[in-house]
Amino acid sequence: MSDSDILAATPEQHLHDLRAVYDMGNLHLDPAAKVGDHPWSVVRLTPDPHSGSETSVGVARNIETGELVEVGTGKPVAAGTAVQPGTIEEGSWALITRIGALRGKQHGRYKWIKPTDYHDRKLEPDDIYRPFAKGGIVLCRHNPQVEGTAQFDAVSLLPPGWETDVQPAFDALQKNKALSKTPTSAAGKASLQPMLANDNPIISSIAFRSLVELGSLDSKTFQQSLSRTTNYRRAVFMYVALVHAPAAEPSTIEPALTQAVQSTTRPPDSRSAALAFTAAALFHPNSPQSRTLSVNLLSALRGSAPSVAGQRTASPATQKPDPYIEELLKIAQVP
Amino acid sequence: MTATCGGVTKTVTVAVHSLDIQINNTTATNDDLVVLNSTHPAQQFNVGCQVRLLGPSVGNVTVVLSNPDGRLRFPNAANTTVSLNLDAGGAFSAFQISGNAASAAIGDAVIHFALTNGSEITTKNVTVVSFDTAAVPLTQGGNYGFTGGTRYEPAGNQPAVSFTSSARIRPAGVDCSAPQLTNLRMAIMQETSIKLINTTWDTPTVSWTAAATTGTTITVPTTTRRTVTYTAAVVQPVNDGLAGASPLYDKSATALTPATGCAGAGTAASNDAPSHTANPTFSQTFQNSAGVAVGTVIWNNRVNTTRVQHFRTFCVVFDQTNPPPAALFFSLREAIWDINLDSAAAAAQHATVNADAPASANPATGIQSNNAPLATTDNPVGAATTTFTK
Repeated sequence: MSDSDILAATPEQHLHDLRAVYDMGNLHLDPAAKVGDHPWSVVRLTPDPHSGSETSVGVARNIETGELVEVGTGKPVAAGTAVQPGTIEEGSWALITRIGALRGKQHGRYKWIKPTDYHDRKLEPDDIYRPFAKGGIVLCRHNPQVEGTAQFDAVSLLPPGWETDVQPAFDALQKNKALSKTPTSAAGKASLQPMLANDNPIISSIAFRSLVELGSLDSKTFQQSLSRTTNYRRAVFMYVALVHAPAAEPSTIEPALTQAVQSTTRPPDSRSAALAFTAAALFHPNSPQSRTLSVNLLSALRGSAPSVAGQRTASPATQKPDPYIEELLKIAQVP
Repeated sequence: MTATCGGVTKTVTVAVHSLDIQINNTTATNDDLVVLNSTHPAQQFNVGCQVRLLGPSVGNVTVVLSNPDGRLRFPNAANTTVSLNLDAGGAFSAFQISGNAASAAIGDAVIHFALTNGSEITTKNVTVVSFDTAAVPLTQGGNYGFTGGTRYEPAGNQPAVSFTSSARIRPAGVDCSAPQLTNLRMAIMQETSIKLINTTWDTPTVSWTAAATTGTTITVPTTTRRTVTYTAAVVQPVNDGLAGASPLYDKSATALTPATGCAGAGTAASNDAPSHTANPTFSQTFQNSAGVAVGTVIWNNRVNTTRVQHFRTFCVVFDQTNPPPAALFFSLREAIWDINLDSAAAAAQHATVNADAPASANPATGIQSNNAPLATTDNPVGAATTTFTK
């Protein structure tokens, strides 16, 4: 099991972890699907210092004249001409794992300018954390021979430590159809149950989401699953339960999640719960049921979370709050 | 008819007319109604009707339709009466009615059918349907902040403003399943104007490329600002709404509800959260006259981002008939709200909302704000410059 200790995460890491939990909770891997020249890969991204910076697409400034000019031609751009706003994403990548195609470039560069959309739109995962601007280890379909954004496809940010689980997860997915395609038969559904306890967090997370989406997870199994999980896997389970459970089944997840919050005695479990509830509240504001439940659970968590230093104290007022959780509560707007 | 009196016998012919009158061109009576003309926009909801002579007639008969109580027109404002030449053979003659004044009770708009000499043949009761107690209250949402360091929005991805839209159908007891009413829904429209976003950065530093020779100099404004607003071609106010909802703000089921007094009545609800990206740094590439990049200047400190925008939200009645009718919607109430935000301000930044009031304008239609073209320009702030020399 390679899931990292969530207590090792710095408070500044909360945005990275939110994105990773969201991505893992929504990860869809089909090893049978044709990947062409974009094999699944695990890649470490190291952005340049100016990655994530606002800029203008296709224009530069001439150092002698001070004029705005076209990058390619050097032709002056008429004063007052509107520019196309963009965000620089530039840096280097290093291969960690390439599924089914070991040869090829092991490291390289990435560079593009993404248009900045100033129209109103819903919050996207990139608004919380941009791997190409802030770094991290991603699972993606990668073709190092291609320039620009097309080099990377289906990018998911991995929680710390999960990078070593990708290859075994693909191996398991290839062997087990119930895992790669949502099963419809009772036998298929039953075969997912043991995978909830699989050492590999990617396998167990995918199995868990399938069971949740199928409405095949009873409250008792959910509670047992939670009791066996920790760290980022626990966060993914809780997030998946909140946002992927059929709308008609709050009775399955609510008691289990409430119980999990109320009985939390370990600081890492509080962090996992805070991550899950914040991800659900933030990324799914139009799902009133999951948002309300998430915010209620976060409020309950604020009152019951043990301190990072140790066990629950007699009075919450005397506890030293966990700054990692405080950052999450702040971003989720839980008073 | 022949009558004798004092040895004098007279014979007169008495014509007896019976009429078949069909409002909305049906024999049903639950659809004997017309929706009151709207003000915003000014339009009428004409209902097609027909009338014919019943039984044999010796000749065509001209009838005059009138509505003394003034609730109806036939159908335009100046048409307080209409004359119809009814076919002796019993063919229908068409006419139209519109709602000029609201009914107080079912059937209180009475059409009088009379001969040209003024003698009345019959009457027909019609209802002019209207909406009252309309409301579009606004609720101020959360305070603005940066989510994830770049997205300036109401914190927690929550609404900046929430709004509802409701009204009551009148008179009481009107049949909402009638064809003229069955597709009417309480809905929300919104328009917006100004949309001025400024983001300012300072503290520039340079990163030279290998092509930069010793002595290469770059002079930049110490503070730079990016401004985003509608292009000059955009006619304001602009229709505002979610993708696919035009001309409404929101077409989801919770934002389209029957009026109070109809089955399934509810309050249409939605919300808005204007937000934009304000990256933490700003970069610009500098190149020499040969077109070779010599360095990138990064303004490392985001001073602030500001946003000014004006909104007007409408409580409307929307006709969701498919294909859409010509008279698609009309506005009953409006409420104005604004954002005037500064991320660097000490005070909490949020939308300001106002009480609703009677509709005073037609809601903007046409291009949605989220599809309206924007212009982005970069300009120095102040005269201070910073010079970098390699």
